[in-house]
Amino acid sequence: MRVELEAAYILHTRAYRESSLLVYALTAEHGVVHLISRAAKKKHGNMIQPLTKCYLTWSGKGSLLSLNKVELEHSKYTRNFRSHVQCLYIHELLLRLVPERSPAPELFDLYEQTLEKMLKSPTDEGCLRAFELELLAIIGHPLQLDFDYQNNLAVEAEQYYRYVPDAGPVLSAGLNQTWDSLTGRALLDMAAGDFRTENLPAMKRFLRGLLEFYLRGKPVLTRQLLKVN
Amino acid sequence: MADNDPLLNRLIDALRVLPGVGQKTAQRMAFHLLKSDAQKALQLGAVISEAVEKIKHCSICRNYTEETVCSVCADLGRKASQLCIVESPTDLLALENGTGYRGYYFVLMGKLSPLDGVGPEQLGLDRLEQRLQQPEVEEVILATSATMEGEVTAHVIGDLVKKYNLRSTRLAQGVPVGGELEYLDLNTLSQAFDSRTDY
Repeated sequence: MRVELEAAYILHTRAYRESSLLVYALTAEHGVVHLISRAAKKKHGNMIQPLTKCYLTWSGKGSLLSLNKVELEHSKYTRNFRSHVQCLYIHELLLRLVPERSPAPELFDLYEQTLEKMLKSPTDEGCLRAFELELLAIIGHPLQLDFDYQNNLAVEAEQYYRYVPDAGPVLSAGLNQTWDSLTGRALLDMAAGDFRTENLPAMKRFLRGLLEFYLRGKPVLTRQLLKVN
Repeated sequence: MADNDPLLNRLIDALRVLPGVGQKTAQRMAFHLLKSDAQKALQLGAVISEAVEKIKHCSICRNYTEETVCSVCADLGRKASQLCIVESPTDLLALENGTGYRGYYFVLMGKLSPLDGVGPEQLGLDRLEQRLQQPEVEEVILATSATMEGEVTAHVIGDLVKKYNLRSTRLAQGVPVGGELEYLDLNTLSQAFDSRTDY
């Protein structure tokens, strides 16, 4: 199989043997791919970097794919710390939650739009929350946020709820300290894609807990090690 | 390899720990060692075990040394006001050989990379913080690589430096000497353009 000049973003690289690199990329048509770039520095110089839209040509059979060519489209390179950390964070989510080579063009569009927003306003945490929500939907866990599935009632802003993964909210007597406990207002704002509200900290805690649930209890390392977002 | 050559197999397997050495290369190396001067092979084995046993991290900068303090940190003729942060001993050597810098170093032995499980603890930032508290340090030069992880590392250390009211500087990014613009990658070109200086 040979794929010619497919639009992609580099998510992560790891040194492999003396001069090769393992390259993890999000591509427009093939989803997340793992590629080996032999003699990486000699062949591609320093072009294999995140934050830059590139076009990758690769070939290979089975699980071993070789990166043959890299072309850069335009540079979004920044020295902004928050943007870098946010990128590390969403790259970790993509690499840990999205199976290799599961095509999802909408994921590529989502990544590109999120990157654009993040680089424009690095302090806007709302775009990260929106990314988390849409990512979960794309990988097969869409969130049902506005309907109490046990009582067959619409979620009400003034009530409290407990969220059951892959099911939805259930009416609850009050709020507690666990990630799955939140107000109807927060649920409805999330359902409407409104992340500018005062409920943002509650949404953050909720999505953090939900992501850890889908990561089988393993914490997101970027959060743990860099203590941000 | 035949099953009745366990020692030969062990030697081949042991050589495969080296970067870039696969099964075939390891076999060639093993046969070369056995075929050539036996004394030299024994010497290689002895040096490897002695080096692994005796070479540790410098107690001040974390570079490799067989003493408690490495030769750079023990050199009292260096400029104590400058401390340069590098990712690896090879970066230290590159700066020593390629620049006129004669201050001291701190070697991180990596860069912050959450996906690889490398956090502040693994880079010895607690020890770096102790170093920053020494009164003679005035400037901290952040010489981590210009990758995303290198920038994050520089920023985290930069924050630490600010805590002690010290000056922090970062290596410049731009057109390499002898580089022609049309052959420059877009990231380097845009960085060089954005950080242009008065001339």
